[in-house]
Amino acid sequence: MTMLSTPGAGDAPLLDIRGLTVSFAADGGGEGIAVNDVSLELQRGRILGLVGESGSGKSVTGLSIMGLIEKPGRIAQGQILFNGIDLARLSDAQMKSYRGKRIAMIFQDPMMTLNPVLRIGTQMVEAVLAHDKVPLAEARARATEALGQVGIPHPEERLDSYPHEFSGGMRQRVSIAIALLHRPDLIIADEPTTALDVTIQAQILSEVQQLTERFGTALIWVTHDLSIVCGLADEIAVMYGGRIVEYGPVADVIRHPRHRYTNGLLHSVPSSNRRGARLFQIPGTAPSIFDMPEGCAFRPRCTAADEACRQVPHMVDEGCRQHSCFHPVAAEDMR
Amino acid sequence: MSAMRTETSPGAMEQGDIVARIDGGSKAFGQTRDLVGRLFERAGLMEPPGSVRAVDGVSLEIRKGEVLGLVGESGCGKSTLGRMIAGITPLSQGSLYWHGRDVARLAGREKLALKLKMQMIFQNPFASLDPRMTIESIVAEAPRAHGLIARSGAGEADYVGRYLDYAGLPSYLRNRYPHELSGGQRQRVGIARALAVQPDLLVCDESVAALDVSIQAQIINLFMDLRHELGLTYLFISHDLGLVEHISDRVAIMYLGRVVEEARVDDIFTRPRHPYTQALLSEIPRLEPVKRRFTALKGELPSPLSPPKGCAFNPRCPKATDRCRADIPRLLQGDEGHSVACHYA
Repeated sequence: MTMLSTPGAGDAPLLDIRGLTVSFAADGGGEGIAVNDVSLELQRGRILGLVGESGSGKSVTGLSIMGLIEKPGRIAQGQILFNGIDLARLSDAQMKSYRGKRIAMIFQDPMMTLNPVLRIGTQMVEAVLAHDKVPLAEARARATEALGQVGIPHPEERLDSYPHEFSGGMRQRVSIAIALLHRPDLIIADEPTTALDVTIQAQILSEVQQLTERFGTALIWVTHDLSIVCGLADEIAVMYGGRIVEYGPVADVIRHPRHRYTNGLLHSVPSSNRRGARLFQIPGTAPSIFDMPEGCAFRPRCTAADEACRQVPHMVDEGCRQHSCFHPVAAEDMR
Repeated sequence: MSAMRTETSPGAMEQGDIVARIDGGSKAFGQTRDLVGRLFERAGLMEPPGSVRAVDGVSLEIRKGEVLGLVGESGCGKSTLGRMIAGITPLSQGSLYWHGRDVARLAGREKLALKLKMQMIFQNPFASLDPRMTIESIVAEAPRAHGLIARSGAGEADYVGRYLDYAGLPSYLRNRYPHELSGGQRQRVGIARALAVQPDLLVCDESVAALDVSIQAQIINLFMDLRHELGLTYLFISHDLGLVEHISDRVAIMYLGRVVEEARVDDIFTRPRHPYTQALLSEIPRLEPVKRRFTALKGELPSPLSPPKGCAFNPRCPKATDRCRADIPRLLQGDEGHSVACHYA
């Protein structure tokens, strides 16, 4: 795969999610909406930061694209168009030809990807052969190459190691190498550096950055950490209560957040506060999907909320960016 | 003022001003042998078991009313050091002083009373709360055991209510169980429980790491409020430099069991002198919407089972020389209590 030029505006997006709604059945009957009417677009070679706190629906969105929503969850509505094909309507067997081949996922815990009782090499060869019928030696060569690409020293020897013989950072590299085996068009990374140290996190970010550039891979980086997305992503989508509340180019969203939630989140980070001063804080806690407030989900925690917010806010289009707030943060210094 | 300190504290510093002090403290973890193993070892048929120095000759003091931030990567020994200072993990070597008293020489009631003044708040609030106890009984258990409230239970409700209130928990939660609470609320229970024994020092070990950003801000604010309301002292252990910068007065940076740099917070963040501190600071993700090149510090924390010779940081250090591969640098004090352990700082 060669490096792709910057996509023009006319190009069809690689991924086009339209009105995706995912619901989960509750034990005692009833349903919770984990992802509510989410629409996203992603061009080849671009990086989207999908940001939200726990329960915001960011991970479920990622899992939906991978076709990994299991009972009691289901995709209730919407389309997940990948190169024009609606993944939401594919059968399990059809989805298998995409999963791991065209779309790959990296999880927070690399042991979600790795089998603890098999050598790394065995698992990687298996992953190659799952989609490509190639001789064993070639599969092994590809595995070695992939390990080398993510910065694992002596990849040839390390193929014979078991997952427990690697450190946490190295294990995460292995799972990234597995994701890269088939040079997928899209990688979904769900908090892959959250459990890692800052220096290891920087190493992984640097490698992911280089690899996506080199192969023109599109990347969705799911995280709760705005500051990671800042240095990495092109666009950012902020989720709250299952919905995207703000969506746009990173610079716009970070410099001039429009939604009250994004604004609060940005201001509660220590570095945006004077040292030693009380941090800006959003009161209250995020709602449960089984107990969503009516109207705007952020209403009970929002200082600007009023009667209007009892209606579900619609996405307001502002050129290259969108938000869904009835009382957006003042736009006077916005261009 | 200093980390490497001599026997007598300089100047007018009263012993009472120092809540906790550790002097050359080390902690080694080793395999324990059974009787047969010990006999074999005695007979020279087995090698003595290897041990890991999780903390190696650390000297630190925590002054009344301050927040000392303790930073390092996983495996550097920061949690072990925290537990040593809180009196949970005994020292293998060195001395620990609480309020100027040598803990090794304390016994009985006196030791218990002082130990109670050093409380710890853990990372995972769910793992540190008994799932079968109500919030009220969790918070009341220790004060009752230590006679801070009557064993009969009289006045317990008021007492618990006061500390739930300090921790920002509504009192209707007192009859709930931990699983009924959110992560932030559980952490508040951990805080209420620690406060309920009226501590002087709170050792917070990654206490907000597991919480969402908006909840993190609430808990950090709570810590800062309590510091002023109750005159608390903190040892704030974290891998999150942004948080540590915000909340701390002084910061100590640990690498592989040793403190490599210690200074006032603005000194550390504006003039880091140890190459490791410099690397850490350059890698903090920042809220600047500019695409960055993440320039990585190579390598990983070495295993404490086989630490590198000389300076533990030398395999990853861009400035390492032969001297760094041979001699362990000592933590030396510079201007304004800025100590650093590097041959070339």
